[in-house]
Amino acid sequence: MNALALTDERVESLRHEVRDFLAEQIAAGKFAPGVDSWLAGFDRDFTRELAQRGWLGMVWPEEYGGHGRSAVERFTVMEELLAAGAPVSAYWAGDRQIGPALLRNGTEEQRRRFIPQLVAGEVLFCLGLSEPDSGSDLASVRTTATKQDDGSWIINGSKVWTSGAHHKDYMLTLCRSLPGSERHEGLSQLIVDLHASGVTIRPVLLLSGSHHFNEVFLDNVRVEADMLLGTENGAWAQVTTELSDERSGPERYMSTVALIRAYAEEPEENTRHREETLGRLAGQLWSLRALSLEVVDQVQRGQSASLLASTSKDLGTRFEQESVGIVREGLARRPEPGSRLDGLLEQAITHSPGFTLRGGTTQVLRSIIAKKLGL
Amino acid sequence: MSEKNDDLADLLVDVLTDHCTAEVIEAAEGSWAADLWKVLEDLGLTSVGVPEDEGGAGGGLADAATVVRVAGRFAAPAPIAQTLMIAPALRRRFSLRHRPGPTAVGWSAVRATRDADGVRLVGTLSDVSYAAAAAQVLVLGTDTDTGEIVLADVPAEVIGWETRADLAGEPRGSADIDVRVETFGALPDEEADDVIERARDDEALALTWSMVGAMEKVQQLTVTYVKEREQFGRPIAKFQAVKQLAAQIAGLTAVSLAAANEATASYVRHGAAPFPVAAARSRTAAAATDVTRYAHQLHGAIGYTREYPLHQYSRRIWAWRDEGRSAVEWTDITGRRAVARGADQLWQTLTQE
Repeated sequence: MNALALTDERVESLRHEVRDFLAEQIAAGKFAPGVDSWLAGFDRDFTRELAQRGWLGMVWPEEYGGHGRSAVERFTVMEELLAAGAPVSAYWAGDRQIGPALLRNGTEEQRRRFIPQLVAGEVLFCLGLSEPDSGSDLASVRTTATKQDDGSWIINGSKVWTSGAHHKDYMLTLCRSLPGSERHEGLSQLIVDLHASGVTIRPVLLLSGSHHFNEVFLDNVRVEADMLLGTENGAWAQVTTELSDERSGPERYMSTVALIRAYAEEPEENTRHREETLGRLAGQLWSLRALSLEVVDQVQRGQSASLLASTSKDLGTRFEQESVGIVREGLARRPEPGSRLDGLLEQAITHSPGFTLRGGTTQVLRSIIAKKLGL
Repeated sequence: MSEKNDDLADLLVDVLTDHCTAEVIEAAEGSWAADLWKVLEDLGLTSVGVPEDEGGAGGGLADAATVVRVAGRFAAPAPIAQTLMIAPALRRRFSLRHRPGPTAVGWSAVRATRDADGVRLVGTLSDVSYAAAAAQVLVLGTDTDTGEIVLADVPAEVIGWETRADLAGEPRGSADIDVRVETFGALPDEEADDVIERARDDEALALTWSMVGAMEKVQQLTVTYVKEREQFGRPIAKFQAVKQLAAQIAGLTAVSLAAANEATASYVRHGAAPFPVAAARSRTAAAATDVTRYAHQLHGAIGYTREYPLHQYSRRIWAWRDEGRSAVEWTDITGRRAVARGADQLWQTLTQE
């Protein structure tokens, strides 16, 4: 009882610390709250600010420079950043997937080299999973890593939808490393330096015209032996665990919270069915948060949360999409062109098709859930 | 939920498996299962959540919620939600003592006139859930002379009910009453408004748990059915379209359970949880409605028959979502409470633990 109360107090004081910091940053014009800011909001300086406050690598062990804090504390920081629509995309994938992957599967040397840099916000990673012919069916990847006599690797192929690759330093790249292997066999993960010779990064513009995604071409890119992550030819299990990390977070239902908050703050005469609209939005958002907290609780207790994580992402991302329509139906007229609400709405509308695609489509997630149900 | 709750849930599942069979539920249509109540009462399960020194079985709100949830899973035809999750707090707030036995709640206030040591209640009780099953009815009355609201514990035998069955087949009763009782509590008008608002929250939380239980059963029936039913030479569970709908049932049930758990935990921490309860109630009503639609779709025509038990749960969900304050009212209440502290306090309200 006492321990719980103490924890609560600690979490609450952290929450207020984050809120105060974000209010200051907004007041100082460091950022304007945005929709989908964990994809669209890239800001190295802001990332360093967060790092200085100890809000990167929060749950990682202190011996590698992490902060050894609880999953609930990390969740609290994440949700406050998302609720403010803060620019967190620079480090998001690194904090969510790369750090945990290095800690789980990396060599001691890899951990000592990369974890402190991730915690400091100085090194940025992206994920190289999908390929032009390999989307939902990730086991069909064709990018090859060919082992050389000295143990190093030569990589050939291309990766697509790599968020922020044009700003980032490394790409954790899934490759077929065993010639002739198929499906889940013969895959390895390699850490590729995006500044290495043979790497070409081309933008893949979103339908809005904005540049977040890229196609990364790998033409005889040489990777040293010590940049293999985990088991040679055994990366499939590593990747599925990382995808579970990717699916369970609050960003899977909070991409439009900046829009929802702006709606609540609209003058009443600009809204219609106001209570019902807010009720639908707040009731769903709060319930999804409750579900996400259950995932955090399971992870904290070392249980597998993959069913709940898939469920949470399926429901959460559909809510993100629906929320855009709910807000539009709850407005008395279209927002003033150029107003804050207008900008957020436009951002939400143009980004919304991606919500239920990235990190596993609705259909893939439901297949996973059905499998867990024994169907 | 704690281990203690798991033990309690296991016990209830055992008891209800034996004593709340499909035949018992069908036989109780329009009435209730008095024998089942007796079994539960003998095991102390009808006063879970009421402290032992008040004559209850002990445990807290989360334990009472566990009983209501499992009762929902079994479509138990008895006033369990009313007796365990609405009546105890209402009595406590009016300083009335706990009373054993099935209890119904009459929400429509009648006229109350106090004398030296009693109160006379005159008026109409409308559409009281499980009225005829109750040993006593909690009746609200307005005393215009004193400006007070009274809550009276009225023995059911003095009331002549006119009964009907609702769409779930659960019994309801209306009655014109003119009774005098000595067991009552009184609160000043303005204080009473707040107390009744909280009692409506208790009702909302009880219905949330009832719906969660029913959704769990609907999920279980559906998963079993699609694995067994063969069409086109294989179980229909092999079809993607079927899997996708079944997965949605599981997702909606999971989010409702999480919401119910979080609302209950928040209620226990603070003694009240206006926004969380409203959010859980409105979310669950919408989710449960979707779940029944998907489950009936997957069951095909068989689920549309009286013979197959799906309707015992889907009809209850359809009735419960609008029981007391309706789903639509709760959506509006959720919206009001979300910004009650200010339009710019939405997120702060959502994250208040």
